[in-house]
Amino acid sequence: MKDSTRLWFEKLLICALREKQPDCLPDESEWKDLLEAFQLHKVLPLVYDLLCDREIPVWVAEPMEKAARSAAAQTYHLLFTTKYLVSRLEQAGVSVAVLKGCSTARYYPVPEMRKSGDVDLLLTDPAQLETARQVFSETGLTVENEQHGSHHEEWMTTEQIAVELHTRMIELVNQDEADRCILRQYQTIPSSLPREKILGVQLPVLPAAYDAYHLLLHMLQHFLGSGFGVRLLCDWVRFWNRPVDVTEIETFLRLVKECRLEGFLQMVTSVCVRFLGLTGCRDGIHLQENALIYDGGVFCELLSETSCNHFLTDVYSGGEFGYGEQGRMIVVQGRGFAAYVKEFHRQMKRNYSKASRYPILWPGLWIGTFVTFLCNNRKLNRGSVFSILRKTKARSSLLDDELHLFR
Amino acid sequence: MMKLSERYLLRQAAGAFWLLDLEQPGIPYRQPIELNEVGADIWRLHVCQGMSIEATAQQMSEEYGVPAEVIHPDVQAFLRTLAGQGIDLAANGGDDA
Repeated sequence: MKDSTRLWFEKLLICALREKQPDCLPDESEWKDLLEAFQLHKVLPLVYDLLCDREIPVWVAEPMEKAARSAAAQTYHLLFTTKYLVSRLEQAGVSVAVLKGCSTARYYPVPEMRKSGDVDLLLTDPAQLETARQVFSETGLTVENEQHGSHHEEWMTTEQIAVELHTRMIELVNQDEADRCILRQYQTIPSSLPREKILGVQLPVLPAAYDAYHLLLHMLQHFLGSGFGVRLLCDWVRFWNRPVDVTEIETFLRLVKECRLEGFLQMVTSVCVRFLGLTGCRDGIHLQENALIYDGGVFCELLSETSCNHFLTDVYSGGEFGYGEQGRMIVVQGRGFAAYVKEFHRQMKRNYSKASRYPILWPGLWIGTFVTFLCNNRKLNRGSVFSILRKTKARSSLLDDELHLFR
Repeated sequence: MMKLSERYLLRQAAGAFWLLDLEQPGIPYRQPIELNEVGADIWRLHVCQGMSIEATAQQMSEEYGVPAEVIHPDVQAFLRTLAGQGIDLAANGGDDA
């Protein structure tokens, strides 16, 4: 992203996230790259209310209105599908929390403008998976042939809405201790969930501490994969620019500390403060000099702009879930050949979650994983193996140098 | 019977007004009815505030600067359109089209 594009991109996003009108707008020459950036990160609807009554080129206004209308229509469809599925599950005694899309949208001034693509439901008790499957089947949903990840099951409604039934908070992160910790934390989610009214519909959601923690884990999961775009950072800004109870903040910080994710929290939060307008609010976390504080103490010290820049450049170049840059697949935790082998093994387990339980099958599954990797590279035009490894190495250095994950 | 103003939620987003049926099953999905600004005003005055068709037309006449007798048939036509979409205006307890 060009410097001037980036400046305008951040300026307009900050205005949208803080519900302020921009005092001036970019020149016509800036709009092409700016429009592409908003589209790449799926945040074009977020700036609709800022720009709909302002003088902008027609060729910008038209796709912006189209994106906003499409986001609104999709939000409503997802909302009522969620409502239906939650009510069917609850009738069968299955407790779920609504994650991401509908749930996160409530933090925005116009929830419809937070674009979502599917329905995400987290089982609070994984032992209820079989009952949930039965309810889904009776409701006409079908399980997808191709599954991506071992932390959820992908289903499809008769109206082609994708539904992810989560049985863990995130995919395994390939660190035994951290994986065990996240699993333990998942088991501490209160069985009695708060219910929030989202666009007139009452839905069960995670308590604020767990919701924030899930937002952070979700960013981490995508960062360890091909990356995530600015939309998830916008969620982070909206979440914290509102009142949050001290006990929820403290629970959240405890969860982060238990899993040793302070470095990641610090980076994500610092980026949002330095570049995206996170200031907090008086009844939650708020800025004081070079830190975010709350009534119970320090939320996190802020990193320098230079440190943030390295990370944010990765976010910007990747676009939504890394689709914006060729050669992005994963980051590798650790250095050297062994780290790559370990990651390759993790990918095998991810691709073959059931078969990989039998070590005798591993050699065959490794070959299968490698063949799938080569085929996908060709199909998705990711570039050569060499370029993927080079990109992986560059992104992985962020982990070691800046984020200090799980240590 | 639930009042229409409780059953339906009027939302403004992406430059349009959307009337959401909160009591719908979800699957099959009942798409929102899209209204323009005038339709949204009629909904607010007649359905939410319980004004009669005449009072609605009168109020809108003052807002838009158009004679009430010109607006009156439009209000009636709009309410007929809603009825055609399955919105039972009698459920609101007021007069209908």
